[in-house]
Amino acid sequence: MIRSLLKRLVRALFLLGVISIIAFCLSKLVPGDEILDYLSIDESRYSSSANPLQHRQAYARVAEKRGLNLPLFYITIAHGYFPDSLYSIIPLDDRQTIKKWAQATRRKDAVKQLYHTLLSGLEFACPRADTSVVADQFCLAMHETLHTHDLFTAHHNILRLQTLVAANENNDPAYANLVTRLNTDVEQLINTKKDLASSEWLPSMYWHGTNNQYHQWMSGFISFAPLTSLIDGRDAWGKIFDALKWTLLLNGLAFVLAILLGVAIGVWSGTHDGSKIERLINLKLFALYALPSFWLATLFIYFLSSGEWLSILPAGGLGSYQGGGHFLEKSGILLKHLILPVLCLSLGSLAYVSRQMKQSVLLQLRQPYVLSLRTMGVSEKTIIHKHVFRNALFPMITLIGGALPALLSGSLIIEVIFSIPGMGRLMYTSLMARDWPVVFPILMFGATITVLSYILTDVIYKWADPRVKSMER
Amino acid sequence: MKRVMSMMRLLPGWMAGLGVRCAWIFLLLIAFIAVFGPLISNEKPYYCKLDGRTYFPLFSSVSESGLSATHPAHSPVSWRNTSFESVWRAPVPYSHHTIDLSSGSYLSPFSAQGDQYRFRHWLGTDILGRDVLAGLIRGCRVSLLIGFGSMLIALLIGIPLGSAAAWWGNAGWRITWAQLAIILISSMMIFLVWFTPLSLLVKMLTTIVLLVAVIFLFKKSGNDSRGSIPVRVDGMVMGWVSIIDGFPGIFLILILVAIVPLKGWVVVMLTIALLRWPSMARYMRAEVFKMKETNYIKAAQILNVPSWQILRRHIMPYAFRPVLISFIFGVSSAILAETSLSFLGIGLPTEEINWGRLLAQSRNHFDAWWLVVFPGLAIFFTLLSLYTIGNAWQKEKVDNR
Amino acid sequence: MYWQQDLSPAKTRPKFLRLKVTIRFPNEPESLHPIFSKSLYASQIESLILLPVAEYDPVSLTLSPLLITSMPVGEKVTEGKHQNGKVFRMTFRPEAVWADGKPVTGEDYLFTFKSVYNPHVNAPTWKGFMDYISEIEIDPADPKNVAVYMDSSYILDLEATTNFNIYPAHVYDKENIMTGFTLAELRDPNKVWTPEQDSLLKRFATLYESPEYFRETVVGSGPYALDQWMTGEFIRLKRNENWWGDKLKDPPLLLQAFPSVITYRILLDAASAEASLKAGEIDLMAEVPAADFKKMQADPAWNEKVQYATPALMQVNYIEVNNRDSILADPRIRKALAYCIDYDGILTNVMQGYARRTVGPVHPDKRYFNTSLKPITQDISKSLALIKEAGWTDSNNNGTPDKMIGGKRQELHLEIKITNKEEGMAIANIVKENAAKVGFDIEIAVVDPSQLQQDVRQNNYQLLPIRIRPFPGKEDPFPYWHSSYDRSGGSNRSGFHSPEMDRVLEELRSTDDIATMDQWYKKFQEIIYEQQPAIYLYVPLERIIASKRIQLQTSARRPGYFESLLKPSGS
Repeated sequence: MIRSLLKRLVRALFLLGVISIIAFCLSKLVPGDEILDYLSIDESRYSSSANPLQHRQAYARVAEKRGLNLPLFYITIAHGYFPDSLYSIIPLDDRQTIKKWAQATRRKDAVKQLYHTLLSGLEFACPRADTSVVADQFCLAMHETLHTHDLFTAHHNILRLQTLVAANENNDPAYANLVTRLNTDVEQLINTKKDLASSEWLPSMYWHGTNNQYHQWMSGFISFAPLTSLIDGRDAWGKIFDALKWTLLLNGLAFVLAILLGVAIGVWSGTHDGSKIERLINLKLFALYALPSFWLATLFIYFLSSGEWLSILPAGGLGSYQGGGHFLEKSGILLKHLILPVLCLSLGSLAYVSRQMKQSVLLQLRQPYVLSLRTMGVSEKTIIHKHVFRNALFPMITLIGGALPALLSGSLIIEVIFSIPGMGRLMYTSLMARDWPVVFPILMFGATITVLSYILTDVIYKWADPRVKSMER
Repeated sequence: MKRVMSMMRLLPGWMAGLGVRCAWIFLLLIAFIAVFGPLISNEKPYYCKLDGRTYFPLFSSVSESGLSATHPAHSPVSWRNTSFESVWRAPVPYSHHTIDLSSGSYLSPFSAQGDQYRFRHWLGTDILGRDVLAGLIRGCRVSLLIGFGSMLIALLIGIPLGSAAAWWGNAGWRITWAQLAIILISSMMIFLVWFTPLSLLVKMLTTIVLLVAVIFLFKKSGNDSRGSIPVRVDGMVMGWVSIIDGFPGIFLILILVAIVPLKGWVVVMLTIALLRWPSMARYMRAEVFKMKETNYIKAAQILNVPSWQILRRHIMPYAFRPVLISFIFGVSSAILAETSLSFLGIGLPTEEINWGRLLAQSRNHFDAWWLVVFPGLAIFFTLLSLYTIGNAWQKEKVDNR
Repeated sequence: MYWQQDLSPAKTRPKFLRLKVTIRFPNEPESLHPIFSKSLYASQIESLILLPVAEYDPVSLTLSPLLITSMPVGEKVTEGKHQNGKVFRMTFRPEAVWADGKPVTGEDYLFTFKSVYNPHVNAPTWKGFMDYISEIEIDPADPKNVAVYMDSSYILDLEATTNFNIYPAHVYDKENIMTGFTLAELRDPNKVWTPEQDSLLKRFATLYESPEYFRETVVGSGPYALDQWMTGEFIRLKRNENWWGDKLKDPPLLLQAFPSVITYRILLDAASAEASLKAGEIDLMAEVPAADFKKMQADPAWNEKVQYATPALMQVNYIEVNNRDSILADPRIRKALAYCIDYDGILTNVMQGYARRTVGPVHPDKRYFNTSLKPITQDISKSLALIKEAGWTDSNNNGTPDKMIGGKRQELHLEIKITNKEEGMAIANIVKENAAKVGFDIEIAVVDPSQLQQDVRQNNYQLLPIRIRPFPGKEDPFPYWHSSYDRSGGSNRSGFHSPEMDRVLEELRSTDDIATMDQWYKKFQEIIYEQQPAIYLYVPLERIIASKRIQLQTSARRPGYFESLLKPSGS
């Protein structure tokens, strides 16, 4: 028993590892550049005259702080003709440019050389205090060229710059030097054809050790290190537990309500199968299930809180703004605010639960033991209450086990409509804002609960019914 | 007619009662509308005649601007307002995307709407003057595509994987060292090919050739339990099932919509399929597990019938049925899931209209009951039909036992 | 300090100071850090806790001094290192104190600049205007007197020197690190820091970005202080007991503050927020969906309980057009697009009438708005003619006009990029349908906000429905329309420029005379109107519903209401 449990746990850990790698890869595939988003000005009133070099330095600082200048994983596999240590090239736009150049020419050394010359040009021309036309134009041209994927356009840019530098004779000879170097670099890339060395045909592999983004993230996660949210600077775990509190309360109440009501209705309709009232009730439950939850919520709000018809329940929030004195008063306010969301959540799943229960009861009623009990003259009431009900509850274990992860993951739509700061909303907003330090813990937390709940249901199942043979052999 | 009736009898549960028949007829009607929707509701006429020239706009690429260019006298031509010499329009003269701003801002079905009887919005409009009836007709297609499409894909993935997991378990399939080596080497080669500077076509061809070669080699080496290394089929399949279940659905949908460069509804469909196949696989696994223990199958195994044949001929057809029931319930939950996504504005392109979108619009304008009642009824009856059929089917199954 | 006793709270404060108001916010601000918060809701709250040096008055819409005694006047500098530049001298109000009683001085003004220029602090928004200022001099005799030097002439010089919040140095820099550095060296791009200096600067940046300042310690000189913030639920501000503004004799509007408690409730969903308003749980709600607003306004039952306001906001909604695109580079095509749109339909349906038509980037309420330009109205025939004139015909009979451009056959196919916001989607759908009538084949691409930002940065778009929020008073169109800003990362997003436009913009920048300036502003609008480098749609009216128990003060400034100026009705 213990051995099999341990085996399951090891397996669960392995699965969590795979989940974390997949989640990490997916997050890296999302388009957009989070650092540029962070640095960008949404609605600028004044022109931003920051020069490209300053911007790059700011970018590099943020990248370093967030660890984005590290390799992604323990190993990197890249095309043989790509320059090595591409991961350390930031901004991401530069990386894109270098990849494009390398793809077009397949000459990694020349590409690297051109890139470095451009960088040195940028560093030379941009920070200069003298605001001469040449320095300004030079700086801009470097910046432009670093964003030019097409080498011919880049060449064109540099030729134009060369004429500009030549026209202004009385400036630093270093400009002329730089331009000539750039020109030779580009021309070398464009004109001379070189066959690939045999080693460049095969992919190149690099081992980075533990100094990589995935490792940093995972080790931080495992050691419960403080994770800082990128949007508001708060501790990610704090944010998650704040949200979890509400979600557990909301979903827990809804869950208990749905199970209690669902089981009751299920048993009743199982014993009254086919009667008119039973059909009517089931149809009504089904209608509740078929109504999208967002619409049900709107209906409640419109009729029960807006005052169009009644105004007895609050329409949103948790009521904490009302203050309230002692604990009882506070919980009273909270409960009042929770009634509508809990109703919306539980009514939708009622149909499902009651249906499961009904099927289970019907199945039990067909069992030979019921017949024998009946022939023994045991009253129908006792049969149902003492025997059928107990056995019929059995499949509910799977249902409850399956619903556990959903309890924690929250219900986005209800949380949005009723303005409840729960897990669903936290996940949604963090994901939309690409706030990975919050997204990943939520995801891994949910995954852990899911995997563990599977083990738990299995164990409980076995414990509750020793006849069940383990499916895993 | 007789033939049609006898065909109908083949539909599962048809004989069970009137309710199930109605459900089938309703579903078939929805399917019919989904297929022929563009012919029923379209702003383009079937046929029109202008200056003696005839056009079939619905069936050709004739556009309003094209007609304006060829008939400058009538310029600007519009399908609705130009006086054609003769014209046949679709029963609903609006497409789902047609914007009729002159009758926008939530026009009720009963309100006075222009003078032209032919262009009446029978079921009202939404804020942009889009016809609700046209939207409902379009919604049939979207809902069925997403509901059935995603569940079909889930079925196609879940059934083979689930039955393989149950059939072979963790020790039922053994391979030889040579076979293991072949798998390792060929997967390594496929991996390497994608990093060489060859053209895409060459890469694809090599991959396909390698894959075919591996399958061929395996077929050749025949029986599945000769080797010494057990393949943990069950472990692998159930591992993937737990992995998929471990991800929150909203995470997968949001990320995949951002990453996958396909049309919105395709991504929604694929994601729902991705989220649903594990439950299909689980059902199938449980069913096959039960069947495997029957004497009938055991006998076949003793007779040395190949696994593949037992699975295909003796297990699949019987295990399939209970899984189909969960398929039907899956379809209804997929339709509901899609409505929820419409509320969040994820997935479908914005010019698309479906039942969920119409319902979501009504939230902002509660007085517009026509945006609630009609799509709500459409969803309700579709789900109810699916439910009735599923139930009837299940009863049949239980009774047969 | 005899007068302080004289102004004991019970005597001077009128009764309505007991007023508590609750306002709905559709989104939660991410933080209240003065420098790092980006959301508009954050700045709305920040402006009550921290005060700007000067701010546009809600009614007169001119800059009025808040922390300083009077608006500075630019004086020409005739000698010294800032020769030919301008100097702005200002004096901080003697009454002005921070919440803890310490006086507001030029040191705090300077600190605000220094903190932004710390190389480890990322505040690009701030650097944009601070770059215009070359030196700040504090009077050694009285630190309340400050002289600000600007070397180059700039239209928005007054705004750049006064219109921003300043922060208390003794709160945000407890260790007094930044006094060890001068502004000049912080701004020198060639400056090489010693390791000790660098670690000090880094330490300041780390402390400055610590979570403490994000949502706990928010201290300023304003009338309100942060009282409580329950994440996801509400933010509550309390009026400072001894606010220095009360001691002023004749305070400007923005130095008055009536409610004693302001609660911002975060209610995401508009429908449930409306229900809360109707139930009396919140007192004020802005950004009401147009259709709901109209419906409620028409309902007499609600008219008795709530009041409505529709101030015209300083906002222009338009469709950004990428003028670099091979199809859209042709002004005839841009005009054809402009002529095919059903503007009236947009106004009556999408905006439900709560908007006005406009012709260009200049808001119609501005003094220099060019009234001689008439808004474009839908004219399908004209649009068809323009497309034909531009050489587009349907030569391959596929229903869409085409043309040979650069040796390649191009269909009249465009893409309109939006995020999933209600209004943008409606506009995109209408434009698509309208444009289809004249042959445009427009595709709508819904992308996520991060992707959209990247596409805009890389000029990878064709049509983009967006809005700008011009500030009251003067504005500087230079960075948006001058050729020198049409580069990667430049602010000339549309990529439209012409020698004539460049000349107008340069003239506009170089003049100080109001009348000439207005001439050039009008000329600028004419060029935009003729060339249609962007399609201007409308200026919206804000839709505010408030409970009748409060008196509403509206304004053209965002958010359209001023919570600090709310009074109980009947007072």
